[in-house]
Amino acid sequence: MLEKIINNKVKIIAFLIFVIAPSLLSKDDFYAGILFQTLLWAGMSGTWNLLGGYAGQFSLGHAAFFGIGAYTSSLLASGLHLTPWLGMLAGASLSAMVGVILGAICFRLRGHFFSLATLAFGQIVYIIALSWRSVTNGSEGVLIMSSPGWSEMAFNSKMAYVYLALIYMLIVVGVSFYLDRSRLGYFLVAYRENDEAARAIGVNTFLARVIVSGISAFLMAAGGTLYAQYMYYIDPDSVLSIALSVQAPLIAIVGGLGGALGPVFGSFLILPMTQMLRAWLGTSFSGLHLIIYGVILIVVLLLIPEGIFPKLTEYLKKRTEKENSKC
Amino acid sequence: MGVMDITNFAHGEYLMLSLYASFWLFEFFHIDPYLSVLLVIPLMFLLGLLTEKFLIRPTIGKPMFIHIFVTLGLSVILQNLALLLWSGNFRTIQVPFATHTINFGDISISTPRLIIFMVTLTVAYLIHLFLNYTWMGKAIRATSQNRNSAQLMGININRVFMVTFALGTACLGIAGPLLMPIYYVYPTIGFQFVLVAFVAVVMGGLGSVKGAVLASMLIGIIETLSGYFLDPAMKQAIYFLLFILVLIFKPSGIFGEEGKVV
Amino acid sequence: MKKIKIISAIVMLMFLLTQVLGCSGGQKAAPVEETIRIGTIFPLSGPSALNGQDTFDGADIARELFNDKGGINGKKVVYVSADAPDANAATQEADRLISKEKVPVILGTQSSSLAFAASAVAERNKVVYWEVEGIADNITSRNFKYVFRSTFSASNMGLQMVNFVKDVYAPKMGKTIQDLKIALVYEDGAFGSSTAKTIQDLSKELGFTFVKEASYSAKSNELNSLVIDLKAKKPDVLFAASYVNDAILLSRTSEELGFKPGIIIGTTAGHGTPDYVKAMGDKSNGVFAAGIPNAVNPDNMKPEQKDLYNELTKRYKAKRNKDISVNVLNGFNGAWILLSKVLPNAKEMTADNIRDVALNTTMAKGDTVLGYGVKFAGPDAPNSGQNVEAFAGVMQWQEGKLYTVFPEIIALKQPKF
Repeated sequence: MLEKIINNKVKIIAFLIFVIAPSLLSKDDFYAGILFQTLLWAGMSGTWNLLGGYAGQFSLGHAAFFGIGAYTSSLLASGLHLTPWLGMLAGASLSAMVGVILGAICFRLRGHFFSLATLAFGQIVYIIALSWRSVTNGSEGVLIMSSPGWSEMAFNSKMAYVYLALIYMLIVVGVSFYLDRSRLGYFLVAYRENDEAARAIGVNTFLARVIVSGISAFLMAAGGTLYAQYMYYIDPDSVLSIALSVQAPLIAIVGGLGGALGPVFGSFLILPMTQMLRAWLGTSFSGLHLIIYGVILIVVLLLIPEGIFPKLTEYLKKRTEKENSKC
Repeated sequence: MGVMDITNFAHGEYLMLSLYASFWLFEFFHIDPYLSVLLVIPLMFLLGLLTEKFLIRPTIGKPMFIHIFVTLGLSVILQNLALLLWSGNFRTIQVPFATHTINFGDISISTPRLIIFMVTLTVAYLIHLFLNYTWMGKAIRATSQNRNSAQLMGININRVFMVTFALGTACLGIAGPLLMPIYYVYPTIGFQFVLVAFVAVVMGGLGSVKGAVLASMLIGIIETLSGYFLDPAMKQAIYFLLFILVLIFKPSGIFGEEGKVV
Repeated sequence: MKKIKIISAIVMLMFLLTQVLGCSGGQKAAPVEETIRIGTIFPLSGPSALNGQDTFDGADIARELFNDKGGINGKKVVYVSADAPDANAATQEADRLISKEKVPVILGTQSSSLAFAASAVAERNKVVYWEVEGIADNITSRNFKYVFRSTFSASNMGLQMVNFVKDVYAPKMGKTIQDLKIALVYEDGAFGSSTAKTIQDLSKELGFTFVKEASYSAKSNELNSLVIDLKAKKPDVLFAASYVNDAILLSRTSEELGFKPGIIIGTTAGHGTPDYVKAMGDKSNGVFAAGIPNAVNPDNMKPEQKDLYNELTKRYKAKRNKDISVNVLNGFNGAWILLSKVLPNAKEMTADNIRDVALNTTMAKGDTVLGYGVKFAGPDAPNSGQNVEAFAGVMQWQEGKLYTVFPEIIALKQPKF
């Protein structure tokens, strides 16, 4: 039975690759751009999912980690000419530290209160980035002016970024798969499902959550660096806004929480949809594309609250069971 | 929010609608905003009822994040609907008393702001009375303390939720017209209010009217003082920080009752 | 197994469908061959929607007018337009316009941070990027090869604001500039900060005395503490780099708290907008706003420009049923320069041709609706692509109308103090 499910997952990954492949082959910058964003968001949302999905610790401040990553590497690159590869490591480490500290402080809060506290934390980082002008350049943002090349993590071809984002996403999916079958992951799920029972049998869920908070912050920040290198320009609104903090959980919810592939699914549904809607309707009636987006969102949330991916696997499972019984 | 365990991210957009309502009533029918309160309140109450019935009710009993994102989706829809219908212009109305002030020696107080202050206190007191001395109010409090036992006592939870939610939006029906003389309205105005509102409600202790009023005043004082002594740009950071501290060290809120831990 | 295939087919179909939708959306707007296609990127939704829509309307009226006058050898110009509420969207839409729609030139973007993002994409793809409104200095100071800006930069606007105080206000008050107490407040976005920075730099050179410098968020809903502090400092001059809502909030709060500086000099992004005068009524009289000169008065234009201006106001009124704002004017002017002076002289509609023509385009002072001339800084000059002839003016609200009062060459009225 378990093998069947895993088998199905493999099939689904195969089909995803099948969907990605044609776009990978096309030299079209527009699709490459969408693909980059989709893969990046699949990774970012998966990163958020490590904490939000597995442990049920619903952070609404993950933009802070994203921004810390983007700012650290960009500032180091523009100020000290440090290669973004090292900048990425520096930003991610800094972010992991912040994540651990924030986790240690906020993990005693439950439900809304954790969400609101992280929301407030995200806003504090946003305000710091705006006001600490001498370092962050305030709202004028940071321009990245590097000549293309591997050492600068800057490329003329969009496809290079797409591959980077693909690697990023695969790493995040890998970490999620690891959580799926490791003690750490079980601890998180134990906390989500019943903290008291978990503690009663001597499971230190707090430590587990703090560790994963660090991992999640680390990976989110790495995504920030990728994004900054892709955009060549960052400002507080583009890397630290609440919209980002909200989009990560949103994608995970639509795709399905608490599994490795849910966020990937969510991202492949939401990102292309929003971009196409905007390209298609963006200028005919201002705001119409966002209204449609909002309506679709509400309908999906109300009809499939458990997420599309779990629904799909559940369906496939039933299907295979039926086939088996027929045999 | 305290009663229903619902974080409504579209709350700010209801304020935006309420502001627009009083703006259009003034623009087309020249109804003084202080009078249009009487029209806007029932309008907002009705809107609240409908929203609860069709959007919030289906999320109850589902994981808590569903309603967060349903209300976020609603806020996106309302913002852009306003943009589509009424454009992004900054709408203002001009009434002679908008910048009127009352002077006590050296201290000058803006009349519209004073009115807002008085009305807020009155409304808060009325809500307090309502919650403590009417059947519905008691039902609401019972529901907020324990949903299941309230249901067992024969309280129609759905009705309680509906009324509670609609009361919340109706209060925005008061706020909109009162703010309109000194304020302006544009489609994305709601956002700047909603976060402060969350902070105030949580700081004051969920479900506590008195706490929310006191906490809002505290935030106002912190904002003004930190804006004056530090940097105006930093004032929000200060109260968000305070917010996190309150959450951690006294989750029942600064003014919340001890023991009513959430 | 069959079902898996079906489901995967649905997923793929969705993906392909969205791709097809994207294509058909574009092709609908573009019957090929007979037209010249230009991309536009403006924020049409989100917080900058108001200014973005105004600027786009201006640019669109320029296009209609140009087509009505015959276009380029009978070929009509069409816009392939995109909505970019934030920097991320600006990048994606620039990608789309370049790789899907294959436009040789992109017109944009109203807001400086959107301009940074979109122009970086254009430069990478060697497509001309034509900025009509974003004024932050570093749009052109990056010395990109394909970026042009028809309007002035923030430092020019700051220069005019400071010069106005130095050359007009100080002598009028019989004070030296060292005697004047100056306060500077600015919204903490890219626009406010970069404007403020040039004012600070220039003022420090000249030796102004600053009594207060403070930034605030344009999204803030109260400015009491700021105004209380300003009132205590009693400045003679208040420089305010604000947007519309915060300009209104600043003025209303000042009114309530009884704060009256000697003069207020805002910008046309805030204190000079129709929404500001609507909100403040008579209270706006006397307030100065620096920015796009000749903002609403065509009296001293050359006849040809006057006709254009009248046509613009007429068509805008018909379209939106309101008076033009400076954003409309700016969008119109920038697009008109591109359409009427640059594109007709390009041999082919390729980015490189258009760029070469633009670099050689010159217009004399007074040949544009906004009064300034056109000459773009060359690729080796600092700020390459910047229209070095463009300059900002200082206007004043007098009897509910905005009149240019400085610099003297384009002034319509004397400033009142």
